[in-house]
Amino acid sequence: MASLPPQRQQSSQQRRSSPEASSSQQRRRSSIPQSATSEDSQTVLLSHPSSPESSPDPETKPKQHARPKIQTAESNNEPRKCWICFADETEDTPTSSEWRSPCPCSLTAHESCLLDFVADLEAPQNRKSSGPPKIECPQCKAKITIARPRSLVVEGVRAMQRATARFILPFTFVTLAGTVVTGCWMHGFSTIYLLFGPEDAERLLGIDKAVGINSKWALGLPFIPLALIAARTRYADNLLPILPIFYFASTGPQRDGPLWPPSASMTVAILPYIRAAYNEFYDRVCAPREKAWIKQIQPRAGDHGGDEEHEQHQGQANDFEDGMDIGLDLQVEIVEEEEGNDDVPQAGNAPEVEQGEANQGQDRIQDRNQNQNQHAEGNRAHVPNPHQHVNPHPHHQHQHQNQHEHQNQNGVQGLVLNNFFSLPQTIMGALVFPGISAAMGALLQVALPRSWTMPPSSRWDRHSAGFLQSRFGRSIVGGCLFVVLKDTLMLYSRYRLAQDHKMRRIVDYDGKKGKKAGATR
Amino acid sequence: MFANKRLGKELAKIQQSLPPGIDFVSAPDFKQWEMDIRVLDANPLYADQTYRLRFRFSPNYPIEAPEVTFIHLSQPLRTIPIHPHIYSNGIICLDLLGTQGWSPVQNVESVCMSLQSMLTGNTKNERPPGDEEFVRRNTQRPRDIRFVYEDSSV
Repeated sequence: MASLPPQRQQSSQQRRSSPEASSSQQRRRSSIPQSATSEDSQTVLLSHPSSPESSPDPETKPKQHARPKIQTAESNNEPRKCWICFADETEDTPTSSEWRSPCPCSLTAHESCLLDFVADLEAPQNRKSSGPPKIECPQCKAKITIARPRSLVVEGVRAMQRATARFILPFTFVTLAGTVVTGCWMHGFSTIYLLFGPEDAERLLGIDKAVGINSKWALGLPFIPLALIAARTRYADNLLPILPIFYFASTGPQRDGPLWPPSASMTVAILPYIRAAYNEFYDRVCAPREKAWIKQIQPRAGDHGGDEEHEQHQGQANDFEDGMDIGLDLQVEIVEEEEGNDDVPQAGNAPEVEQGEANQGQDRIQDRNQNQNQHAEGNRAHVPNPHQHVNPHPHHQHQHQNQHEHQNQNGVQGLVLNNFFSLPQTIMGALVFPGISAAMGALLQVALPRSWTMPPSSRWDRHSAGFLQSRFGRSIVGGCLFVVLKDTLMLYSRYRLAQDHKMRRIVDYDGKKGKKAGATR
Repeated sequence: MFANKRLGKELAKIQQSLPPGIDFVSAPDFKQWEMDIRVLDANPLYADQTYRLRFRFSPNYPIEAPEVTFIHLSQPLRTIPIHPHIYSNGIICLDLLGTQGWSPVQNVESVCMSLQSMLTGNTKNERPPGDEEFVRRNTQRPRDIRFVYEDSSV
């Protein structure tokens, strides 16, 4: 094919001079000398006699559009060159496709080459984004328009594919959210049942009246677990006491009946205040002591006992600090870590610490992670005072019931001290809490004298109706009891740890004669 | 077929004339060619050095980009030029050689010229960041690697 330039040249010139008349002749002529391929071209030509110019082409519109370009090319008297296959007009064979100039610049190309180019751009693996590819002239960046037959079916399918692709993310999100809401709903539902017992629960939820559940409750139920979890965090401190106001505001006027025993909803509404009061009590009374105990089991605690009071004082001041700036918090953490380096030699001397300094470094990193966890969950968390940067003994910063990060070098102590640490544990604790309350309520029913827990039999006995006679009352008292018991237990174990710390001794190596060695202290 | 025709055209033109600093080396077939390029100005990084480029063409050339790499030879001595976009195994991170940057307007000659100017404009005597790691780990062919073209200055 490449061996025929002169002949082609001639034929193309002919074609240019009178394209309409000479096209078929030219084709025949050009194909004659090609011994091997001519037969092919010939048959194609014969079976497909429509040369672009002479045939009633179905695509008349693009061709008409192209024709003026042809004339300009002719007027330049320079063969057009396909920018894709680099073949110029003179080499056109009968099988080569038509010339197209899709853009304002001088690039022209064979239609088939352009279509290949476009197909490559449209190929899914070459696409950068999910949107339709930009089909444009690489030189002048003008958009190349493609006329293609429109098929309703194909376009419908494509539109549907696009739509489904667009809906995947929202759908996933909605499904997940739905799962969570349903789970919360179920949890709320079972919470009501657990706390109030079947009869009260059905009355509350309005199940016996309506076919379904009261719509108010249907909306409210999922918030029960959320509120339970929120109640475990400090963030709820500001919010929870506000909520019951809505209750009082909405039910206040028509509330009747005796003030004692309080109704179920009334009791629940009062709970946030009880919680706040208890927390306040704990912070003021128990927390400082706890800190002191924890301080005692720090390595070399006795050496700077003088600081203790000072720190306690400051720690107490911190208890009233109520900030939520976690960024600030993390800053403090980092400073603390740096300061922590000062402690390394001290800790290394401490008798019970067996790990090397490297281990301690790891421990500190763990500590820090745990700190972050704590502050993320905000479980009784106090955001430390920023001024503590200058304090050389930062141990007291995170001392609360559940935050004793510096002790986990030692397994036994760590187990006692580091419970309720992580976020999953907090959530689990919050969600299980209604069950625990109900169980405690049941225990109360068994443990307390019958007259306390059974409803009065006669009408005139009414005045002595007790709070504990209803199941919800027992559940709530049981829950509160559990919290108090748990905190007491934790406090006691810390106290014991602090006391036992003083009694420790190192056991000498048991010698050859099996003689017990004495204490070294 | 498509590629062969176009490459035949390009070859004919390359054998006639080439811009200064670009030399044709060999084209045994329409699959793999080799070209030599030199930097013309007095860039101290590349002075008196000639670099060998290997072009590999797929049957879909020029719709698909050719695979262009620098190759190392001992006879005649050809090294891999030091450049922040050229890895020491010869793989070149240049957008016009990637799927997104390539277009059929480009050809062997224009690619050579682009690489020539890429070397000419360079002042940094360094390999791309992570070169060692990339060279050790990479088993992909250049065109399958997803480069991120962030630097348009070189």
